[in-house]
Amino acid sequence: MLLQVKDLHASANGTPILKGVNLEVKPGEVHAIMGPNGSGKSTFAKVLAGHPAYEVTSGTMTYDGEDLQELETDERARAGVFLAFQYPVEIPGVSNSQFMRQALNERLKAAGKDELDPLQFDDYIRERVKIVDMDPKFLDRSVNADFSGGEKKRNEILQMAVLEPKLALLDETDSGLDIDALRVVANGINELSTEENAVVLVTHYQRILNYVTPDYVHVMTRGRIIKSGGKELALELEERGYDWITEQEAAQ
Amino acid sequence: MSSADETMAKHPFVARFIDQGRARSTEGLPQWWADFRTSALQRLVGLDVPGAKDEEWRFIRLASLAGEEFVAEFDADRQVNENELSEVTVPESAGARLVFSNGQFLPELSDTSALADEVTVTTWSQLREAGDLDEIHDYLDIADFWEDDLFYNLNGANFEDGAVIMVPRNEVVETPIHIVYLANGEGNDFAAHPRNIIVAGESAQVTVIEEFAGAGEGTYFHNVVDEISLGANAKVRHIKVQQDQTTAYHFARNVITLSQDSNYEGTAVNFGGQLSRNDSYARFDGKNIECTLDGLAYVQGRQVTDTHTAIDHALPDSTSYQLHKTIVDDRAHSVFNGKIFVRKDAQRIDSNQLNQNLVLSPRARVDTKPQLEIFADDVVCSHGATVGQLDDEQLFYLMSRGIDAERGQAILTYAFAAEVLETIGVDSLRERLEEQVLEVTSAVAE
Ligand SMILES: Nc1ncnc2c1ncn2[C@@H]1O[C@H](COP(=O)(O)OP(=O)(O)O)[C@@H](O)[C@H]1O
Ligand SMILES: [Mg+2]
Repeated sequence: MLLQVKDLHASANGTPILKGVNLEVKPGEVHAIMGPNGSGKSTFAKVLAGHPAYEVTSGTMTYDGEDLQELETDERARAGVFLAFQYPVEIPGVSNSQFMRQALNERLKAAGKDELDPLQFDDYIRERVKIVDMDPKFLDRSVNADFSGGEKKRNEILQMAVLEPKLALLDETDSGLDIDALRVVANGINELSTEENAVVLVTHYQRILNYVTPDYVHVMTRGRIIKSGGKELALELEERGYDWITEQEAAQ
Repeated sequence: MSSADETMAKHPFVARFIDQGRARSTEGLPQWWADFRTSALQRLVGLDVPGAKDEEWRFIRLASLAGEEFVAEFDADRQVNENELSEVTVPESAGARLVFSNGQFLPELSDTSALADEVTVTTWSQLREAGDLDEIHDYLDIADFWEDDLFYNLNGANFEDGAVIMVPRNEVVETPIHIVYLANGEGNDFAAHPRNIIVAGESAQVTVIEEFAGAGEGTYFHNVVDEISLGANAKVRHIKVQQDQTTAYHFARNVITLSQDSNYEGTAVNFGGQLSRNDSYARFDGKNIECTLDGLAYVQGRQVTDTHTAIDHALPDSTSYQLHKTIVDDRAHSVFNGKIFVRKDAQRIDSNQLNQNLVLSPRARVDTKPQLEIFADDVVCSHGATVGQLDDEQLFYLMSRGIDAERGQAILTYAFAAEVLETIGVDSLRERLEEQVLEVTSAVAE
């Protein structure tokens, strides 16, 4: 098991947001978590990454045999957890490529591997940008600064391509993309998927699932995963919306 | 009691410097210099050490400085050595360097061989020895802005050395000129009063790096005056780097006068000093002038740094820019007061001023006072100030990529500083300062 989440409860400023999430992810799997706005999807992804705004009040998160709560955000990242942000923050003054080299070297160092010097990294990154079809000029700019929405999303997937995480949590990486950009991002995700790693796609829309085929689809509402199924569940959601599930849940 | 005796009794700090000024040799001094010294001495009699009631000094306290007993620079018993110089070397300035130790010129460590003969790069002491001072007479005391200022007059009464840079008409100096003031506080406490003269003739162009670096623990006082004159269409790039010992005092008054079509770009970096004060006054004596006064101050421990600037748009059709940033950690304190005057007939002025302060510790303190005074109607002026902390979401983003908290804080602090440091076109100097910000922040965060 790569990730095992059991009865996870989390709150922000004392307000409960996650109210008993259960999820199991094995290597090689692609999971999609869908659900209406405000249901707690981003919160779940950020709690897994260790965002300080959220307090885990009960439940467990086990990643690769380790209790995630014992690890700081940076330690989780070095262990292979990656979060592609729904709203990537801009960091003026920090060069995108230097930032990625530093991040990669931290990960390599933790894995006991040799770090890349600037020239080696340059060769490496020039290969990786092709995966997301990104203009290399964005490497010389400040991290996400004055990037368009689509460029920011590409830059997130580029970081995934650079860091090669074991568990990628992609929070609405598809939202707001035109169809060409969506294809690029989806192809990138497919290209980076292997038998050793896993992807958790958090999405509001079914559209990306035409390009990235999930093994499991989960529905989250009000801080819980209330229904799980195969990829056909996504199509059903597309046709019928979320209300019927919520009603079903309420009837039980 | 005469007023001289009164000053002596009331302000032993001022009195000491009056005594020192009076005792200085007049040998080889032209009459105009002797007169200037005398008038500064006369003004000192009756000047108080400024206190909290004085608007220009209300945010800082001068009591600790006023309690010091400094000997004159030539009585300092510990000079710097060559090793101390290697840390502030700027390779781009090879053959264009003036080195001072405790305020006194060190010819053996200086070298101006890379510069064309037409360009004067020398010192007050050398010109005095050669009896060649007269051509700088016109560039001394070029504005009366600080006529009643204690520190300007302490310098006037006591200065004997400093850089003299004169670039004649149409001359473009490609090599950045590096003026280095090393100080060693290891011996007795001394005061030095450097006075630098920079003159760019019509259409001349020059870059000057003015750097202060201290060695050894101990107290000393750098009390500097820079007088910078730009002829028509001249361009001066002035980078000041103040890294005096954190036990030292650094005060500086920079007077810049600009003629039509000229362009002055100043960047002042203040990292050192237990108390530093860097003031600039830019006077626009023509149209179509561009003037930039950028600054970066980074203080820690109990350091205090204070910057006051005044940009005086007396005539129409000019532009001024100012980005002043401060980073304040521990119990340190930064002050910024930026005045911009747009006089009645100074139409079509474009003026941008921004002061941003990054507070790294709950006990740090920032005082900021942007001050815009506009008496003309057809102008575009923007000014503002912000005080903030490191952004939690930015830090989380860095950490989510495997960068630890300390390093992340250092990177973000560096990024804040970078916007000012990026304007420094001398690569080795910019990289050295950037590296320093990263290192200092990492060390602090640990
Ligand atoms: N840091 C926070 N502080 C307070 N409330 C929050 C915080 N983060 C999320 N919430 C609230 O939790 C709920 C779930 O938000 P979110 O996880 O962003 O939902 P989703 O990603 O599914 O749209 C929303 O009601 C939101 O306002
Ligand atoms: Mg969301």
